[in-house]
Amino acid sequence: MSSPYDGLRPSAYWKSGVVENAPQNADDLYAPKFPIARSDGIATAGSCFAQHIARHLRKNGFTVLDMEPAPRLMPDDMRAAYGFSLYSARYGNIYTARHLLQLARDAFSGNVDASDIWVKDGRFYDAIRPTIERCGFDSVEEALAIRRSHLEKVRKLFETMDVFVFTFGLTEAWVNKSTGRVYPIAPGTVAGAYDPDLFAFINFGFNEIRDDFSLFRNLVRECNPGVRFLLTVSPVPLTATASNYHVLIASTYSKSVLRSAAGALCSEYADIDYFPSYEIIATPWSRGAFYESNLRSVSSDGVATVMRVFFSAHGVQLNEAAGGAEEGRDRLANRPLRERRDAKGQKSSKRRSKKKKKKLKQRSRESENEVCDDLLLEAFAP
Amino acid sequence: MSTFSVCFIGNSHMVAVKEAWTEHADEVPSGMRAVYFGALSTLLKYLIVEGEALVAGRKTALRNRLIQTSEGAERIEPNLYDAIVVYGLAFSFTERVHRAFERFGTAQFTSKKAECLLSRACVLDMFGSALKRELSIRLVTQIRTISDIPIIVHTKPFRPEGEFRKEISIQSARSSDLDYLKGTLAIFQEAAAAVCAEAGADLMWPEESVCSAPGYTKSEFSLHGLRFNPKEAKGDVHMNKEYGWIVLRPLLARLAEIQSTRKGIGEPQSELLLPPLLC
Repeated sequence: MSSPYDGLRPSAYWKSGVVENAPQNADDLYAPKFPIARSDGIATAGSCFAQHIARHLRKNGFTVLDMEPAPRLMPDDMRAAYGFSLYSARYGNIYTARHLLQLARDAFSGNVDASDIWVKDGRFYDAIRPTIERCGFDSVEEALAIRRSHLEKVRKLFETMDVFVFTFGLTEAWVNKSTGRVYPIAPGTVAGAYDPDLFAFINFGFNEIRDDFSLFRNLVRECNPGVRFLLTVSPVPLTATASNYHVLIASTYSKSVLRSAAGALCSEYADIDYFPSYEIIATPWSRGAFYESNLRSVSSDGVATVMRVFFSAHGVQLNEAAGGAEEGRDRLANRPLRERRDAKGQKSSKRRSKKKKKKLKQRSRESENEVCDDLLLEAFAP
Repeated sequence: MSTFSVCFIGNSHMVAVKEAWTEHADEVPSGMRAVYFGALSTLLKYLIVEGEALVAGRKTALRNRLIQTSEGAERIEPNLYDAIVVYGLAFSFTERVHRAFERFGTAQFTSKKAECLLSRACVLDMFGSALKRELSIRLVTQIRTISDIPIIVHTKPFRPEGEFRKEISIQSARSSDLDYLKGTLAIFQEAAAAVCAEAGADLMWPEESVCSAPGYTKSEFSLHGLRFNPKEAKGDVHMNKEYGWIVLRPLLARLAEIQSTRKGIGEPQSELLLPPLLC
């Protein structure tokens, strides 16, 4: 008697695909739908996890577009505080598909809206990208002028990019009830004030997310028909939820919906691919090894592993100078060894551990470079 | 009247002020006297804090210059004076600033070459970050570790008018746009004032009357420009005694104000010079 499950490849079975395979061998996890070459102009956007993707792509010689480069005079350590060098333009974190669609519509229409400028302590903040100006703007006029200039750059980006890498981050967002404008962060967090008559919480569902991204794709393809899309889902859980559910439940819902929408989009369109960074970090595959002690931030090793899988699938030789990726693999591969080592007692020399500490320190600094607006919500926790 | 001693630390630009002080001694507030510690900027950067003084460390050339210019003192002991003036080491409004503004614009002024628009706060922050590394700020910081004496940072003379003309002929018409020059200079000055205030010093700029255009000194002040060694005098970067006196008058007024009120460290001489830090 035969079964359709007979003779499948090992990766089709949990035992051989995950239990006996992960996390050392991730080669089967991702088969690219289309190639991405170093010469392709890549645009990146999404939740804060996407910042890692952009950085690693750059380090490994990929052409990550930057339409709003930091002025040369600006020191490196100041750039992130002004939203430079994080993505392909200064749009800050884009957590939801609705926000992305809104950005594209604004970019193609040149629309700016004064109601998107929020005030705090006499300074003015662009609520669509609230963390790109650490001290805010001098005036509404200045904020709008700079937003107009930004939208022009975004339009050029959408018109010229070859590949758009987008990381879905959240389903939860805040909208202006009268204008329908969506914001990445709640009013009253960075600036503005929360007024339930003006703003509403929204938790996007599968259909909305799939449709919003489809609309975005269609809009961009009107002026750039050859563009391809690579979707990922951020493995970073929610910092806080306004959904009335336990944050774990809300987080699981959010990631599940995003993952489903990404999958559906990938199945529906030949020019949309899905890369499983979420699975590598957030599932039993990694045995929880890729989260920092806050059970939320992704460790440098985790990011390195994700990127190694990506580069390997695209046949790219890793740039050793980029660091991390190979080490990430080694560290993972050695995990069972480490367990054995624990049983045997101390094996590594003091010198080695010192070196390791230094490396970890360096890596955690790298990890700190990530700019996440939603971390601000922690300040509201009891 | 009690004496009020002022310690000048500076480079060759200080000579014009020193000569003006001597020539106009009768107009200097009574009881006010000056001691000068002068050396090339490339030597002054070797000053180190030792005990309650700034000293030349192992740099013999610097030590010799300090002794020579101060007429005998090899240690700069801030607490022996009533005020310190750090002169001519700071905040050159150079072509670098113009080049920087070629690459970006602000909501107020921009150019076709500008890659992006920046907020005024961002430009201030960016300039501030670069200006913090200047020698004058380093000296102020060093002095602040050993003394709470009032410190005035007086900037370098603006570039000579001759360079302005050259730039207009070589570069874009933008360099000759006075509104543009005024705007960029204003934002640069605001950044410099914030950096000085943060370090704990007052900041003074040359008066507008010495300028032919915002950020450029009239050519008449470069005639017979003064340096430590008169034989070395060349080019039009150094200013003359007349310039020195124009600069010295408001400086003396500020020193007299300190003398009379003993105003605290780094407190502003006027609201205009010290904008509030944005964050």
